[in-house]
This record gives sequence, structure tokens and C-alpha cells, in this order.
Amino acid sequence: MGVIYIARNPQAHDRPVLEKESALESVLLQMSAGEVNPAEELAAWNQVVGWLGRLRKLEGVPFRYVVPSEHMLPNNSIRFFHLDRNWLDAIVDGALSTGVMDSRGSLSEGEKANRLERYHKLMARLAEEDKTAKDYRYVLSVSESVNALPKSEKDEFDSRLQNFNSSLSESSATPAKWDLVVDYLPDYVTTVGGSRTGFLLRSSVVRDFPGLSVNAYYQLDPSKDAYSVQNKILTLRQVRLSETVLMCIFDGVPTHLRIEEPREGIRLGMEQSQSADYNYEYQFTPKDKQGRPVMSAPRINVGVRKGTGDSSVLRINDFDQAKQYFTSHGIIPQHGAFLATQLMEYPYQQDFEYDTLESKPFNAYDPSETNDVGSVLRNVKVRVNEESIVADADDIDALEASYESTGGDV
Amino acid sequence: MSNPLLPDCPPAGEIRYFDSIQPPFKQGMYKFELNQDIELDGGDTSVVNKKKSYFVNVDGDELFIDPMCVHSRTPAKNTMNIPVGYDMPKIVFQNKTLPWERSIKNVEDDPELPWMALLLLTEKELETYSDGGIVDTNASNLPFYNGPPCNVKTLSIDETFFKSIAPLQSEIKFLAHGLQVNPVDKELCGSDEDGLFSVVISNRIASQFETKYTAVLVSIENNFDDLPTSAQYMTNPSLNAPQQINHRSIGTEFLEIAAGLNLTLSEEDSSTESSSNGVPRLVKKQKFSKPAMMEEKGAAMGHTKYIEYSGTQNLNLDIEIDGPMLSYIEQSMVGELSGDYITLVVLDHWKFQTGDGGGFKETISSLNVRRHRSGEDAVGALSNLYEMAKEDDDILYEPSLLGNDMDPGVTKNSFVLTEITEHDGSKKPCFYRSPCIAIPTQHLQKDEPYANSDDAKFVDVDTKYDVIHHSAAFELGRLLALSDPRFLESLTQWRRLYGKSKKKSQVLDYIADNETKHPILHQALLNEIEGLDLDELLQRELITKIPVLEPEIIYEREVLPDGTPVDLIDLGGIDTEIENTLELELETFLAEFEDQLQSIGLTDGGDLYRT
Repeated sequence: MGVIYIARNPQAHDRPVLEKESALESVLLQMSAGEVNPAEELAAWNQVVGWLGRLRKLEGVPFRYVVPSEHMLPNNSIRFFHLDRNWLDAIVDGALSTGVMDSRGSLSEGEKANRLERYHKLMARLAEEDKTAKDYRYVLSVSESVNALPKSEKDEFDSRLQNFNSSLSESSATPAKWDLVVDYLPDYVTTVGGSRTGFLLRSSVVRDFPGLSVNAYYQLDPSKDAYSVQNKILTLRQVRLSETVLMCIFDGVPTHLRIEEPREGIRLGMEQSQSADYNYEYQFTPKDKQGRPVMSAPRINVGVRKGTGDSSVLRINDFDQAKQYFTSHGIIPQHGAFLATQLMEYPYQQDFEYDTLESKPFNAYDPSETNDVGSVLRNVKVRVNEESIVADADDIDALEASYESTGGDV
Repeated sequence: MSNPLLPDCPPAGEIRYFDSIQPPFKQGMYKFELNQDIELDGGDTSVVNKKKSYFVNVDGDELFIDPMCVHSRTPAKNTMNIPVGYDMPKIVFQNKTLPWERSIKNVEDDPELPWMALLLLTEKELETYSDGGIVDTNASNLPFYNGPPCNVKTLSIDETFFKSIAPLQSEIKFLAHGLQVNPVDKELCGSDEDGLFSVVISNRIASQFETKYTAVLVSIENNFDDLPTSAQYMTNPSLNAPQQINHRSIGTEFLEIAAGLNLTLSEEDSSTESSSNGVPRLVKKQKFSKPAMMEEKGAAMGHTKYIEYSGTQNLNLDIEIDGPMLSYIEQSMVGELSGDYITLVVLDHWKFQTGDGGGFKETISSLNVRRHRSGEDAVGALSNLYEMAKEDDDILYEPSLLGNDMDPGVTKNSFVLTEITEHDGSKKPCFYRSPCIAIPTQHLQKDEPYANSDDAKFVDVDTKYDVIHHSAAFELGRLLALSDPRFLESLTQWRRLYGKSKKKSQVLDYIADNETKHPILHQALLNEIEGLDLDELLQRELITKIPVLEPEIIYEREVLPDGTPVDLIDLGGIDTEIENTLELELETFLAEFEDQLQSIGLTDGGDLYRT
């Protein structure tokens, strides 16, 4: 803002009547200071939402809070779980409780209604964030689903995407592009909240086979192929918590789970040769360009070099000799890629399936049920746990005995 | 497009193979030439037109690789019971170009030639044929090295043996490749976005049962000439025959060889028969109760039998017969040593041991579940999926849920008993439950957040114990937030900005609803909203306050001596009285303006918007 001078005459402007420090200017400056920079507010908001969103996926939560007893996850085991969203709300409450006090005491939080409005706005956004945090895994999942669209829709999608790319710059196009995703894949953006599930795998395979492929599916109809892209459930988090513990969190309740050997570590191997020619020890079935075995083709034999007293040193050049077959079938022989394609073995897949999905939440509290003790406690404004934790006295005895025997290892 | 919406990865489940993935710059010396051409009108250009050259040496580590770039090793490091089979050991790098980043010396430049090879040795071979195994060596002792002093791991190995196991020069290109996978279903997703890897595989497979192996990744940059050009093997006339024994020749040939060595086979332990394709083989018939399964799986499914023999030359020969799949004769000392050693730079090495389990399939399909007999106490013993499949129906198995009453000390809905320390130091029992539970819970949206951790504490009506899972979560969230200054800063900033934003919208709403009561404010804030010049507004307000002067006011724009533009209101030489009147009017206006702002709480000593 410029400075306003009121001059006696055009030559005399050395006595400003109204300067920056004047009352009006001060008020105006306050008005200006009250101006909210939308970009600044948005950046802070995104930072807060992102941090809390990661917290709700248990990032940074110590392992003992997740698995409080070692018996719950013995070595070489897999355990499935539901995420308790009430617990997640409580941890967010704790994080939000910071920064409201200083040395002068409680800072003004404004009116309670405003405070609550802000809280509910944040919690609603976090519920959405669980689903729509556009991290790289989400982007890849969208990509996978787009590729699985019917051809006509896929072509239309590609065409519209191309138009976006050619007409708009990257930065301005991004939101519009996601609108495009919304149009074609409404499940990816419209469903917020809902159930979160996951599993913990404690096994040496986590350490020995880094890069395990984990995919969850939802398909209740046993007559249909559950393990298809269309039935995939979004993986919200997949992380190695320790050398041998893997955690996955899914957006929903999967009916099928498939854990595969990592494809980058796919086994390259052969089978025993059935050839009458003793010069060859091993053989493999030729694979086409897509890596599919051509069962009708003659097996390719591979010999071994003598000298080590066993059948272990392969004659790699035998692969080169086999190129003639591949050349005649339209496969351009190459070197490392050629050998890897021909020798790759399908990764082992371990599937898990649920028998039933029926399970009633334990805390489905029915207010019509009266409980004298509970009523008394409620009257004195104590929060009452609505879930029945122990059925009878024997249960608590068993828990206490177990607690003492483990030395309090919880 | 530099940042496509949908990244260029192969579809999930597919693999793209590459013969090689070339680095942006291959190893070597690069020359940069800088030319400066300046045109001067009629001047001497030789003074300003310059040319200068710079040399840059692009050179990856010659003696080491970064351990962090190793993604995986197959078989995994230090694993036991790796199934004997036909799989080739390999090492996978996250650095997609690593095997092709250096050029092999004294070889015509071939970009697809990797500078490393993966050797596989049994523990006995490593002891017998190497000079002390893998050792630390002063790099200055290496004939090809002229860099700064450092220690490097090396393997000095008998030349004859090396040539018998090392890949041929012509095979090297087959033994490295690049690949790309879709990282969507991996924990790497986000940290390894392109899904590209490089792989170096061994030309030798681990074929011996219950044998310790060492896989050694060596640099061949300076040893390419040492690699064999054709298949070579050690010679030892007295032992040539048994070396040729393998699973394909067991049978009559084996018997002949065994006879030559004065070995005797016990009839009750073995027999010979012909397989379907006419190849004689030695089998112990009772081993193969499911021959069809053997055929189908194509792997060593039969249990293993060891037969010990002793020969005339006091050799201890172990013959393993593992069905029709694998058999061999291993000799503790074999071959003639050349006496010459080749020193190889070791880039990585790891050990593993073969056996009858321990692979991915065997490990993951033997995950433990908890089981107990019906009618017994809930807590049972650990078992595995194999047993689950074969035991009777009386056995109950937990449905692999995290924390239910089949785990010791855990309730059916995942609570565990623990202790809480009160403010006075006393301890009392309480229940805790993690966010990961066996049974789903109903999400109960709270009207307002917990005020503190005590507020988040519950009580169990049956036991009167405290239930602290929300309380613990609250405290944990608080601690995690306090440990992250960036989050705290953002949270504080957001609160402040949100408060400002909220307050302003309230002020605007108020003023809009009270236009007649505060006309100046209304106009001022409207202007603010519309981005108009407030100076102009105020001048207009002054004009309205001094209507008598209006016809004489002339607006001009001038520039102060320091260059600051100012708006002038030329009062046309008004006298002191008028000036005083004007100032009085102005003060009155300001006071009114501020009063109106104060009435809606906008002048709060700078603390206006803090929340």
C-alpha cells in the first residue's frame, strides 16, 4: 500500500498527515495480516492430514503396541486382523492434543463449536485420506484397474487422457486427470471409511525373499475366479516391520489372499533330461515370447561340464545352440534375457481363503440391555467398555496366571 | 510426458527382461569442449573467442559394490536346507545398471558384457582349491590396481579348478540380465518406483545334498583372459571314472565302475532297473510309494538314502541316491592341482546349505497355526498347515487371527491383561488391546476428541479393571506428535491459519448483515474482497467528510526524491483553519472506523486471530 500524503501545496509534502503508523493504517495492516494465504493454509493442512493419515496406517507405532504379546505372533506364522478404527481415532486425538498449551497456560481454541467443527472436518478428511492418499501404490493400482477395463472403455480413457496431456500442462492437468479416474473408476475415490483389515506374517520368507508379492481379492462367488484384477482390493500399506515381519493393510475385507515369490527373484531352472543322449543332463521346455511353455515343441537339452565330480556346471552355450529353434519361431535370440526367459519358472503362490465372512462386532452395544454395574458407572460419568472382555471368573484367572507366568510380557 | 499419470510399468504379474541395461555413461574418460564465440562489430574476435576442454573420468567402484544395492540373493544368505534341484544361484541388484557399468580390460568393447561373474563352490572346494578362502588383501598388492591404498576381499583359487567351474568367455553374456516388474504389490513400492533390477546368475547349480556352498561374486574386469575358452576339467587318471558317475549313468555303468574300485553294493540296499526310457538306474524300490507324484512334480520328492562305501585307494566316497533325480559321487580330494593361483576381487559372497526343505514353498506352506482338541482348554499347541491337513476332525484350529483366546493370555476379542502405573506409583491390572484385532469392532464416531488420556480410559463392568487401549493410543499419539517438530509446526500453523480464515469469514458475514450500521466498514471490506485500492477508498471517504472542498481537490501522482510514487491530494493552498478541520474530520473518521472494527473484535492488540 502506498503512503497517503495530504500536502499544503504541491511543493510541500514533507509533513504526512497520515503515515503508516497511524491508526487507520494500523487497522488496515491488521486487516492485511488477517488475510489468509490459501496456499499456505493448504500446505499446512496437507502436511497435517498426511502425517495423521500415515499414523492411522500405524506408521511409527511401536511394534509392542501392535502385537502386545509374543504369543499372538509366534515364529513362522501368519495372523489376520481387523483394524480398530476407534483406536485409530484415539491416537489421532492424542496427536491433536499437542500445541494447545504454552507457558502462559491454555491457548485460546476459540469457541467450542468452532473447535469441534474443525475436529470433525479433520476426521472426515482423514477417513477420506485412508482411501484416496495418492501415493505411488495407489497410482499403480489405478493403472492396473484401467488396464483391466473393457477395451472400449480403455480406449476412451486413453483418448481422453491423451487430450489432457496435449492440451494442458502437467501441473494444471493433474486434478483434471484424477477427475478422469473418478469417471472410470468410481470405487477408487467415492468410498471412504469402511473396514480396514490386514495381516502380519512372521517368517524367514520375509527376510529371504525380499519383494514378496501380496494381493488381496474380494469374491464371494466360488464359481468365479477370485484372483482377477477386477476383484483386487486396494493395499493401503505393505511394509517390512522387521527383518522377518511383514505387515499389510487392506481397504476392505478380502476373501482371498495370494502371496507370491518375488518376480524379480524368480527361479531359473531346468528339469532332468529324458534324452537318451548321455551328454545332456538337463532339459527345459521352450517358451514363447510371452514366456509361456510351448508344450508341443521339442525339449531343449543342456549338458554339464565334467571336472567337478558332479552334474553341476552347466554348458551355457547349449542355450546358444538351441537358438535355431527359437529363430524359426519368430523369437529373436538374445543373451541374458533370452536365457532368463527360457529358464524362468512360475513363482510359487500361497493362497489363503476365508470360509465365512460372518462376524458380529463385539462392541455392537445394545442400549436396551441393562447392566447394573454399568449403569452405576455411567451415572458417575466413567466411560464403560461396552465389550464383554471376560465371560466368567475362570477367564480372568487364566489371564492373570498367563500374565504372571510370562513375567508381564505384554 | 515427463510425469505420466499412469507410469510405464509392466502389468502386475508380468516381467520384462533385458539383455542389459546400459548406464547413462559408460566407464571411461569423457572430454567436454567449451567454445565461446562472440561477434564484435569490427573488432578483433581472436581475443574473445575461446575454446577449452575438460576431461571427466566416469568410473564406478572397481573393487567394491555397495551392499545396499543388493536386493536379494538366491538361495538366501545363511539359509539351511535349500532343496537340491536345478535352480541357478543368482544375485539381484536394485542398481539396474551395475553389471554393465565397467568395461572389461583387453577385450573389444561390448556394452552387453558384464564385468562380474557368480561362482559357486562347495565348502570343501573352497578349503581345498583356494589359498585361505576369501581374505582381506591390501589392494596395492593387486597388479592392476593403482588407486589409493585400501583393503579388498580377494579369492586366490587354483587355476585348473577355476577353469573347471568358471563360465566360458562366450557364456558370460548369458549370465546377466536386467528385468522390470510392477512394484504395486511389493513393500518396495514408493522407494523403488521403476521396478528395474539387474541380475547376475551362476553357471553352476547346487546339486549336492546336505552340502555347504559358498556363492562368490567376483570381478572379471581384470581376469577375463583367465576364463576358459572351452570346457576344461581337471584330470586325474585314477579318478576319472568315478567323476563321470551321475544319476544318468547309475546302473550297469555304475556297477562296472564300482567293481573297478572294489566297491560292493549290498543287494538289500539297492537294485537296478530300467526306467521307461530305457536308462538304467539304481533305486531302492520302497522309497517311491507314489511314483506318479514323482513324475508329476519333477523334483526330489523321495526320501534320501545314504550308502557308505570304501574304496581301494582309501577314498571315502559318499554315494547319495535320491530317487531317479540326483545322485553323485563326491570326493574329498580330487584332481591334480596346477599350483598356479588366480586372484579374483570378491564383490560379494554368501553361504547356504542344501537339504530337503527351506525354500519358499516349503517355508511358507509350513506356517504355524494353533490347535487343540475340542473340549479342552482353549489354549492349544502350535502346529503347521501340513498337520492340519492330515489330522482328525477332533482337532480344532484357530482361523489364523491375530490375538484370540487360542493364544495364551489373550481374550477372544484380543485384550491382554497388563498393568498400569498410577500417578502415585501404585500398579493395578488393566486390559489393553492393539489396533489389530481378531474380531471387527463397530466404529463409534465421537462427538468431540478425548481431552486427555484419563478421559480416554474405560472400565470393564465385569472385572472393574481399567481398559486402557484408547488411553494408551492417546498417549502414544501425543508422544509421536511431540517427537516430530515438523508436524507440530504444521499443526500450529494450520490451527492459526484456520482460525484466521474462520474469523474473517465471520467478520465478513457480520458486516454483510449490518451494512447500514457500519457503512464504511462494509465498503472497506467489500473493497478488500474485490481487491480494490484501499487508499482510493479512504480518499473518497475524506472527500465525503469535507464536501466543501470537493470541487477544489485535484488528484496528482508524483514521485518522491527516493523514487517512491505517492498520491497527492492537492488542497490548493487551503488555510490552516481548513487544514485543522480536515485533520479533525480525519481523526473522527479514524476513531469511528476503529470503533466499528473493535465492536466486532478486530483490534485485539495483534492477538486477533490466535486460536
